[in-house]
Amino acid sequence: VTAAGPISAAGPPAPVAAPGAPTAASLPAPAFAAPPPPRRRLSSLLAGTPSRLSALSTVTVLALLAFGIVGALAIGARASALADARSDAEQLVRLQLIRTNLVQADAAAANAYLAGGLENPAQRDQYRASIDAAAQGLVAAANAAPAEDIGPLAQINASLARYTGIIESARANNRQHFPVGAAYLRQGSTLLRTDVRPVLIATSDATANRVLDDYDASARATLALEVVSILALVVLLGGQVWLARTVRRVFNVGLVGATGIALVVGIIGLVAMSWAQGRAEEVRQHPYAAVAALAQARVNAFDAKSQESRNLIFQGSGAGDTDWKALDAEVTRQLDAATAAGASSLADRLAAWRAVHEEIRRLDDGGEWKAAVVRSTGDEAGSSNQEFAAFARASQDELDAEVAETRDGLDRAHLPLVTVQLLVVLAGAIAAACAGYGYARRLAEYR
Amino acid sequence: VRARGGGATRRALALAAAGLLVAAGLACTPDHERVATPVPTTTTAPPAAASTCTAPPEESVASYAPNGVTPEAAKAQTIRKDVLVAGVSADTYLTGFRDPNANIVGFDIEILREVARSLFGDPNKVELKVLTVDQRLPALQRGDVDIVAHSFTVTCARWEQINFSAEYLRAAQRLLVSTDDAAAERTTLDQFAGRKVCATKGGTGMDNLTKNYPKVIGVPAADRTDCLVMFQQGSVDAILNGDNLLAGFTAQDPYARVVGGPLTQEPTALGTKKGNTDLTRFVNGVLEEVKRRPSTGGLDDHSWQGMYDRWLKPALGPASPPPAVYGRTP
Repeated sequence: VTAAGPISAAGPPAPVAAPGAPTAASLPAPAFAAPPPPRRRLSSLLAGTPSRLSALSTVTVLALLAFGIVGALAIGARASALADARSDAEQLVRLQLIRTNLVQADAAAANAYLAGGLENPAQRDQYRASIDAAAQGLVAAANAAPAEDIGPLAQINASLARYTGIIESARANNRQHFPVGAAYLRQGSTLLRTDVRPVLIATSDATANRVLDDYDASARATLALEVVSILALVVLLGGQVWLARTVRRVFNVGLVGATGIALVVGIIGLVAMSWAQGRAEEVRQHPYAAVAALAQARVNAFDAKSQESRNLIFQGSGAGDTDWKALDAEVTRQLDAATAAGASSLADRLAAWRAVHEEIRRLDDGGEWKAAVVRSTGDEAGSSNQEFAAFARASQDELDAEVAETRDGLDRAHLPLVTVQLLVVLAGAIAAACAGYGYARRLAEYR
Repeated sequence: VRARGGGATRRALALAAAGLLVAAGLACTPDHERVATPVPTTTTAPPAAASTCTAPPEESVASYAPNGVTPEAAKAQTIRKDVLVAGVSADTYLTGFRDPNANIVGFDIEILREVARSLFGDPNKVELKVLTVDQRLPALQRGDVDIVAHSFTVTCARWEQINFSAEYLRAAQRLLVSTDDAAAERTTLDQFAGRKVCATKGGTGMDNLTKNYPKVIGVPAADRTDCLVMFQQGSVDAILNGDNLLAGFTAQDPYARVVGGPLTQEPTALGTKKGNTDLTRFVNGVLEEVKRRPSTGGLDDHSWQGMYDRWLKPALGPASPPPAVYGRTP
């Protein structure tokens, strides 16, 4: 039985245990060595130093090739996990924007109803713009969504069509002074709250969890690179120690070179990985945390705005202002979280609107319902609509900036990894060649 | 100047009233006033447990005779003492709904304003709170409102929880169906067995459906006009409610018809809190006077006949005020 062909025939042999193990059925012959002397029995194949040398050579070359390939794959896995985190984070922003748009549309509809009579064209435009943005957002989100989110998004799309139909019925009736318009408006609002909101929240939560999963996958990739690097170094160093003892030559240029390359590139790979992870962590704790908090704050703020109109519509019955206060506290908490994560503070903007809201409550509670409605539905400076629009614009700008920072941060974290990936593949191949050359030189001495 | 609006005038009146009250408080013995004030939290009636009442609504209309009760005694039983806090509907066409200027108007609201005019000398001394149908009883029991003017049907079971004034409108429960069903002469509830009929949650129509028409699928709505939305969307086939309310629905929908004879009598009255007997007596005195006033037909016609003719006659046909029945003792 002649030894099997080169590298391809080998399973992963245990690195240093090979010499002296006679049971191995077909240990591969070294690719670089001359064919072994004929008619030797298998048991004696590894008996002599030359045979051990060629076996060791094969194992070392394989370990270095594994270092190159597995290492590159590990780095690639991290890079793609971070790219996934980026696209999932963007998807989360899209979903939260849809929620904001829908709440905004509902706030505009409630405000227009409260104003009574012929609707204010500015408010009508606001409503239409919000609905358009929500519809476009749904298409964009469906394009980027994983398969399991397509169903819920399609359901939201269907509810949106129903919602706009109901609001149009409300308008048509209001224009004829029929109070059934108010009942349609209420039904539309309820549809958003009971049918659309829970689905959007569930989808957003699942997307936020996917971002975290992406980070975990990215962290696992480090372990794979560490394992193959250590394996390659152990094989190389073990071989050199054995060589030094057996053939009494301390230095082997090929092996020393291979060790150097594996060590340096392994370290570069690990440093690049941990740098990328560090950048990504920073993105998660700063711009991404700010994005999540700001998006949530905006949803709740728009909800509070429509709550203000609903409170006036129901003229003090029901929960009164407690719902508004709870939403306001929630917005404040989320804005604080965004500021802690590095966003500029929007507390002053919110406070300006809160002051108008409190005045509206004071007017209404003091029996001046009409004056309260004027402050709430008017568009002059200092009205609730104006102050809230200022907050909405400022928070939108801040959100856009944080979204851009998240995207750029994650790009900066994963793009350099592509270069390092190439470097590791190359280094694995060159080191394997060096090691093969080094063992071949020794083997030649036995010929 | 309407409802709770009215900027400067309203503010000035409120200030004047407040000033008068302070002056009165300083001059008179304030203890006397406090004694007359009911303690708001102690009179929570037991929850509407299985009532022993079986009498139909028209036999439960007896209220407290006016007996010359003074406005002061009645005012003492109001929450704010200078304004009447009233629970009303804002989407029941013709009886209590928002007009194009977002003011709440209607037959019930005008009746309410006459009470405020007699009690505080100003029909605008009313603070309106919008209630849904099933918020009416709890709002009175909790003391959130002084009075409820919300097409409130007098029933024996409700008398156990609140007070009612004398009757100010005699309505009847009837059925509203589509013009198609009307053309096919489907005009009784029995013909709607297995089909969906909408009634208001907490209203007498829903009670009637569950007790007497188990084969009809009753669909509850949170507020009256929600039934009309469902009817127009085709998710219910018919609506069961008082004919005064159905009249408002047919006025908004040319494809709706009120059919069949009256199913039950629905005497309509103002609700007040249980125990506020002086306020109830005073309200009955006002209703008696309003029913007696001759109709002038002008815009400032505040007679019962004038208000009815303005709001309800076009939809319900001519009617005269229902007589007051007294004899209830506290």
